[in-house]
Amino acid sequence: MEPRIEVRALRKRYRTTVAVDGLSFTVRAGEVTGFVGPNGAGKSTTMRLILGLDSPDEGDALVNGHPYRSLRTPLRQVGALLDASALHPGRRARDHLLWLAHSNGIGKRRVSEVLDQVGLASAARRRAGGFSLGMQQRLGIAAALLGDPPVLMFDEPANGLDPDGIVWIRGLMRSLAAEGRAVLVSSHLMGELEDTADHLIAVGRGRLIADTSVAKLLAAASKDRVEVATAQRAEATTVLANAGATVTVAGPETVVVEGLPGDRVSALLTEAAIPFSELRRHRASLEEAYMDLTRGAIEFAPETGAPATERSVR
Amino acid sequence: MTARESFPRLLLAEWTKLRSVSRWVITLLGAAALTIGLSYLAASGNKTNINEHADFVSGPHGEPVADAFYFVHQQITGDTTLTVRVASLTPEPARRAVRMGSDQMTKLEDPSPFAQPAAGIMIKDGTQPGSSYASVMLTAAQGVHMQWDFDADRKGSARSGARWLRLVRSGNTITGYESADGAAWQKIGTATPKNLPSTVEIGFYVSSPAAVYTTRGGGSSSVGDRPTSAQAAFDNVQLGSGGTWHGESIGDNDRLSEKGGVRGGGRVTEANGTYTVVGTGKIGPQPPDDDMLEAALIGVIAGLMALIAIGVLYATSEYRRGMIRTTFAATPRRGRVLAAKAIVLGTTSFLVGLVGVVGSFLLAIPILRKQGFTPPGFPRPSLMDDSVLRTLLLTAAFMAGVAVVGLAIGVLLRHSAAAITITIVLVLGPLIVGMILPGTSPKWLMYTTLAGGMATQRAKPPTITLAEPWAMIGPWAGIGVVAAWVAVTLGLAWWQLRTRDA
Repeated sequence: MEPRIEVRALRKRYRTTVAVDGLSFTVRAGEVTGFVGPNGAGKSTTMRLILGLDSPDEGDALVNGHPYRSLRTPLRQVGALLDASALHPGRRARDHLLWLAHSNGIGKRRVSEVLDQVGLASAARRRAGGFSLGMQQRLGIAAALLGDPPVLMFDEPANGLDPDGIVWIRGLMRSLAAEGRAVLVSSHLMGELEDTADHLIAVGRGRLIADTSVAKLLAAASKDRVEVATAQRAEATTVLANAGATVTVAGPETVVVEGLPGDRVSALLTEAAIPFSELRRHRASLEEAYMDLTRGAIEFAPETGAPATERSVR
Repeated sequence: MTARESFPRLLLAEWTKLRSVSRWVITLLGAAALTIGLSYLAASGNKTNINEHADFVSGPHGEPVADAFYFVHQQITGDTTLTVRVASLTPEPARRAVRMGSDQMTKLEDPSPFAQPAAGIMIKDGTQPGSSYASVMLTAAQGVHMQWDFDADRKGSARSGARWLRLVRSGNTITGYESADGAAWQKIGTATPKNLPSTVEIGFYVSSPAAVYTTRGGGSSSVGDRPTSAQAAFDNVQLGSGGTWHGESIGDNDRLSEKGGVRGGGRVTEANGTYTVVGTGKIGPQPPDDDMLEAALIGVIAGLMALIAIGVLYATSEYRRGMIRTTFAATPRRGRVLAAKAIVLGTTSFLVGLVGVVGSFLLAIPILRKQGFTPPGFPRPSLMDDSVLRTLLLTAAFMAGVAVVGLAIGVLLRHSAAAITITIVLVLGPLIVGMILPGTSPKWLMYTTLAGGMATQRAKPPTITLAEPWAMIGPWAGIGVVAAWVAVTLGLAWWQLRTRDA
């Protein structure tokens, strides 16, 4: 059967907090599915529920059609990176992978392969406690890849990676999806998923906000927006706003016009004798699209007493 | 999926975890080194002069034995048969409690068939105490027995009252019989004493072991004894070639008579073929309660502390940084993970413990032998002795069991310092309380707490005459208590792992 993760009406409450509240979605093969939402939205809890580490109060999660806890060699079906620091600091990187490999009947040679793949071959005999956050992250990714699984889950994989590492992990996820695997990547930074995710599952306060393909989302967010490059920004804003458009400043010589088609913008500016050097359809960033999506749909304000929600800032 | 989950692979995974943290490997080696080191130090400071004022002699096999009784005997050569009727046996009643110095002491009831007042017949290799013998006797409370060479015992009928007894020597074997009427005889057993020259002493005797009084508690123990005597009437004495009967006290009864025993160790009077014999003393094994093997294994308690730390950390390290989630993601069946951990830790700790106790034995025994632990009080122990093998293996198992309890408590508490402290208290707490509690009251503590496992270190039978409370229970009871603790704590840990989120 095609690799996939199915989450059905999942609900999990920790004492007074409902962490996951009736969540349903499917992660499909051949795609990178972004799992987004602010910190505390329930992403990590959902992943723990999928992995059978926590028990849901209601609903269930299936991996390749089975509950995770019924899998006998789960590392060969699902590779997961939850928390890169979840290892014994006194253990060498290679030994950390070795015990994992033994537990699922995976050969020693595979350990060397994944260490090569994540670029840790030279650090294999070093204790994991001395690793930088980025190196621990790579080790965690190596552990996820160990069983060559058709389904992969990464919780905030870019944490602590340097820019090279971020480029590397994007490429890795793209290639994993291209091989036909189902890949679920959580992030609270939309920018990380730019050019990586094919599909987006947005959650807030444990509830599903959107389950959409990235292409559609971007098209919707870009619709009816025109970017104008002009030296006379103020005048252009006045003219276009008077014609009923919403104008936002996007740069020193750039405005984004919403609510008027491109030819009408061009005509209005020409009519008012405002020179402009460029007029093109606006291509929304994923972050913008996400903000559109969530505007009004969720409150980002934290619950009373909770720490302030980090919001993506780029 | 082609590969199937297999438990041996899970064991390999958990073993990889254990061996790949070098601090743990060092601590494991340290556990063995601590055991051996402390045993060596403790042995160096342990001296005894027990052989200098002994109430025992060396038996035919070199073991410490008591050999004191009143013997009415004559010399005889070659095959022979002796028949008597024990018409009566009257032991002197012993007081249940006595005051010795400032201590109120209670009588120690010894159920051993060697510790009963008895009237019987005997063939013995001379009159030297400790020499080979075979006997058939009527005891005061345990019926008829046949015994030889201080350690062999065959039970005859459980009757009390007058009884006919017979010993038949044929070459190197002696056969014992009993009868109610002197006509119908039942065989009790056949003995081949170690030394049986053609000329031996044969006759009838009375023995009556001293009453042992003991008190313990407050960290110390004391033992005292009071001699007792018994009187018996023998008639129908028939020996193939009748010589002259000669009464003699065997063994060192002077010391006993000083303390109020029978003057001269006993006496015999004859009237119309009925011999009335008064005797005192004990014939049987008389090992000192002190256990040479236990004295050689003092360091076990130190090694145990290191193993507890390993056991606890092996569990709590999974929780400190959330590695338990990696573990359970790899093996969702949590009970199997716990089982694999317990088996890997248990096996490793057992082997480490075994190195520790065998090393202690090899190092400490020669030192103890230089410092008074010598025959007859302390025969030289060998690694091949059953009791030594049992002690070393059970002690290693005890160490492994406690380490596994540490693991289970670590899983339950998820906190290293708390779990280590609690496990250590579970072992040491009852030991300290048991040292202080008086009399036999600490026995129930030993039967219910991990401290009972200390009993595995004793090669000798249980006794209440020592200050250490674990000496009150046997080694198998001790290891049983530990096994029960392992089962209960692992059960609780398993239940909690199943029901709690990782």
